Amino acid sequence: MDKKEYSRQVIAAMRHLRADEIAAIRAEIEGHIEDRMEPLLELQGIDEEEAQRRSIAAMGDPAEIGRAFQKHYSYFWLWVDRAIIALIVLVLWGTVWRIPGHLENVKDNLTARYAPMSFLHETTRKQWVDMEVDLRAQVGSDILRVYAVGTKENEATIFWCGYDESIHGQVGQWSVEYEDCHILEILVHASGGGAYAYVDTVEVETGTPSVTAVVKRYGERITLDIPLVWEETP
Amino acid sequence: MKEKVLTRKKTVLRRLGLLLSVMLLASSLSGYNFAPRMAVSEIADQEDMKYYKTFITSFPGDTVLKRNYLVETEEALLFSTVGWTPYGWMAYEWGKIEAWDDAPLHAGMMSKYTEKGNTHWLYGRVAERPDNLWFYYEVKEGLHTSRFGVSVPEEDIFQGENGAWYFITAIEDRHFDRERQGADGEFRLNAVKGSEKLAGVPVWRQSWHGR
Repeated sequence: MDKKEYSRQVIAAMRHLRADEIAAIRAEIEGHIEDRMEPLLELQGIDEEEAQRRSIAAMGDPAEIGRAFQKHYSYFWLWVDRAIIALIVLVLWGTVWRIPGHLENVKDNLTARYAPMSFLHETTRKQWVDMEVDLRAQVGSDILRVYAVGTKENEATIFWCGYDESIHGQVGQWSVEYEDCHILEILVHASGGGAYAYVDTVEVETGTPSVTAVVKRYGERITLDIPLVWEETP
Repeated sequence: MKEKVLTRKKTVLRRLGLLLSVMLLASSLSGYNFAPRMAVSEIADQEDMKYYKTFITSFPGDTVLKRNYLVETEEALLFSTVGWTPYGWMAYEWGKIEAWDDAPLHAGMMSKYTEKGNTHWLYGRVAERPDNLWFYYEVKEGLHTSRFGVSVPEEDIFQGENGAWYFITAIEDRHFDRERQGADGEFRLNAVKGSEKLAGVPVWRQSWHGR
């Protein structure tokens, strides 16, 4: 048996070792054998093969050495380590899994902030939008933005969206009413976590200069005046 | 140079450091909810509900991995079902009612519709312990009138640290119209003490459809 075979037998007597531990144990055992061989080679002039045989014999039963080593490699810490690795993987997976949804929210938020007209279909824009506006009001940590209006006989169409003031935030639950106006129709164009976009059609007398949007939240009454433009009737 | 192999204990300590860093990063990115309250807080933050006063938890199943929270702030009451998933604690469904006024009774209903059945969570706050909390529903459609009434069981009424009384109760398998949202006057709750009616309010309703 050479030193490689001896260290293999020591390792075979042990359980649940990591690759780096196996390499370390192998190096340590072979180092011990070499340390024992050195005086035999240098001082007694014994040939290498014999020196290795004697050194290995002096080391004792490899299985016993293995059992002695095992005491330094506790199963408990190994399983704790594996549990921690599993937790790290879980947390990373959970975090990564939420990224697409988060990006979708950021996209909706940015759309509401910079390009709300893109919530609308081309035909809706052509048919209903008379004037683009940029009116904003703070609703808690959210923003109410009216971005376009349209008018038809005794009807006004208000295009509005709501988004969180932080691009990473989610918009809360609130709704818009109109002062002294009856809502005829509500169309939802986006209702994600990052923003929502609504098109409200309200009943107003033709020629009314403005309507007031109202958000009631936690006892607070937030208002936003929306100017209306009417086509002059011939 | 020979590389030093760490002992298992030291490896664990080093790995713990890595885990803590990952947790910190995940928390700061709102990526992972390590505790059920983090999931509820996420919703509460979204609704601008600050300064939480009370958390009341009930366990709807026979597992601690699913629970209900009732969060109260100066402005609102938030009811949320929370469960553990491999992606962390998640708020599955939630409902909110405004409760900023000093009304003696506030009530909300969060209805969940699934293929297996419907659960309607009735929740709220009542200033004084009632003898009976009576929920009822009445809707007229043409000549037909649907009616339903039920008392909130005693065990589903809790007292908070502030002395107010809270309730969370499940009404199972009633087919309330999913489209009927909000406080349209068809869902009501009365608090009764002795023969006296303490308060009666419309129940603000939100519904969810899921698996």
